[in-house]
Amino acid sequence: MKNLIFCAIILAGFLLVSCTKEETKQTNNNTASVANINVVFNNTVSGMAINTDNTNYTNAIGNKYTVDILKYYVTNIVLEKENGALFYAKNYNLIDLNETLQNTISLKNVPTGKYTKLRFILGVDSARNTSGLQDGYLDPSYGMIWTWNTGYIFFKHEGNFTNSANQVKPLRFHLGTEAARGFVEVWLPEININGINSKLTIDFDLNKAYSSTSNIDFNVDNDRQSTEEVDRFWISNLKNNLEKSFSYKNIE
Amino acid sequence: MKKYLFFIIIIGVVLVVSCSKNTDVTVNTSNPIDTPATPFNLIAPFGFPPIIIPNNNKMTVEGIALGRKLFYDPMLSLDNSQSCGSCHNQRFAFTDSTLQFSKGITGEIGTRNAMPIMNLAWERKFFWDGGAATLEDQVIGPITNPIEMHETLNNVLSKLNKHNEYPRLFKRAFGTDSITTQLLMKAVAQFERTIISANSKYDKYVRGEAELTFDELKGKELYEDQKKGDCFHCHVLGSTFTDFDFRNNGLDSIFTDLGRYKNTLKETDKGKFKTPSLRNIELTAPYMHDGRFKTLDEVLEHYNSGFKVTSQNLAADIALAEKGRLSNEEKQQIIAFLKTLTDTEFINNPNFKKPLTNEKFN
Repeated sequence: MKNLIFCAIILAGFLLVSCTKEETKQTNNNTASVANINVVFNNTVSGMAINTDNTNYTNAIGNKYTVDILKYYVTNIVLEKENGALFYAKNYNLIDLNETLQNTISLKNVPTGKYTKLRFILGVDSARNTSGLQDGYLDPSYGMIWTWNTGYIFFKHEGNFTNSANQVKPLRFHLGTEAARGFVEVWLPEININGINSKLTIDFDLNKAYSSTSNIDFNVDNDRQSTEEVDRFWISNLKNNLEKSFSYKNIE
Repeated sequence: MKKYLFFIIIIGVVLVVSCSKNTDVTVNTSNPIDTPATPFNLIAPFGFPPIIIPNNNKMTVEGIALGRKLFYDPMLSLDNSQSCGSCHNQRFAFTDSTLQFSKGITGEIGTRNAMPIMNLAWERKFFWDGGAATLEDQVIGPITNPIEMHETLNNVLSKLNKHNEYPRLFKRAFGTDSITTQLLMKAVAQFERTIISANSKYDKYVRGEAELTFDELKGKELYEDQKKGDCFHCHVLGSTFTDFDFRNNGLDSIFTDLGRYKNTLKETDKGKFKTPSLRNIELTAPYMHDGRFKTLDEVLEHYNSGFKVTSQNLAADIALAEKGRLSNEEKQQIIAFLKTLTDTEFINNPNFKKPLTNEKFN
């Protein structure tokens, strides 16, 4: 009988050891020290929700414009704690005004504590910007890749605008190329991720994309595809503006 | 003892069952759909550089067969009227007959001459301007281009997923019947990599199986003569007949098409286009990125005296060449040599033809 018990213990031990691989991660982070949090991107024009029903918006220099399509990549989110500790989400998300479900990014197992910064890449990192042979939101069927010039469109805004002669003209901005990658840093007021709250909202202000560091006048630039010599200035202006177009709204 | 044994066996079974979640279980089934695809080893022909197959798209017999079916399937276009094969005709080394510019499904024409499809396994960038980074990436260009097949990827995927054969064929090739853009790109690229031309008269000559005529041999000499044809600097003699680089060959002093610059926005890339292979050149007329030359005589005359020395970023080998250095006879001899690069076996290879509708895909 002793032998039997011994044998059973040994085998049970085997069973445990051989099956714990998957669980290791979980046991290291005891459940109280991590939390899941949804980061929600709230698309606005100067704080107001954007309509795609041909509503006219006015940017800082007075261009009247509409929004039919507004999409941008938010990838590689990093959350920074007050003590400098970093949480890397390694995410690839496509924010799409017309697909609200896509605008919530779920971060799993974020260590609880006080956070002061949220950083992300507006666009796709260089390692992933070399081929469309990828899945998730990098799948070419999302229409955010150039087929004639392999690489992703980081930011897309299409609609129309009223030019200085009062004519309605198409507005089409496709921002991309290696020079266009934005590094966004959003200041957070020492928010406490504690497992009770679950939703961190970040505002995006489309008007700031056209004015936060330099004005983009649609009378001059209304159709930019990141392919022409003149696009270089537009690329750098829009990228710099976009980096300053995101802000903390709340956590709830 | 029997008791112990039974006990141990029970525990053993539990052990196996409890741990099999993450291991690959080979499902024994008579359904051929579930058998893994057959690996295909693409071998470089004699004298060619080794072929590097991308790790994320290993070739299989089933993947190639599927890619071939897709290549010839007009379902990939908006109105189901055009396939890849519509503008890439095997008879003309997969170019669009003698058309300067191909017509898309709406009847619109492009601005560049359809490129041949051959020996792409060695190419580095695709399209005349190198805009597609990989062969897989190239696949979705013509499908979505409004002046070509004019279809959206979502539509293509929806058509393929609803089709009565494709889900099964994707399952055989890739182990899943849920068709995605990636799998579409992979399958077509796999087929295209098999399209190899390496059995021209010149190849046979290199292997000691054929003789070249006097004019052909003289042409080969001129091809390699820096003071004469000087073709070899860019169209490397043997195997690929190109070094894959991008160059401005002096067609224009004012560019109407900026070529590679459109992709890189580098001043030094203005007017540059891919150096194409010269294999099957006899079959791929008209010539140049915009198909401006109808004959090889016109091409030879361009390199003999037509090139514009004032053209920005002109290739050094052309800038240094003396105008009028070739006699008519010499030009004809070079052309005679170029015609030894015609591969009739290639343009008749049944493996590259449109699959018959009743052809069995395993």
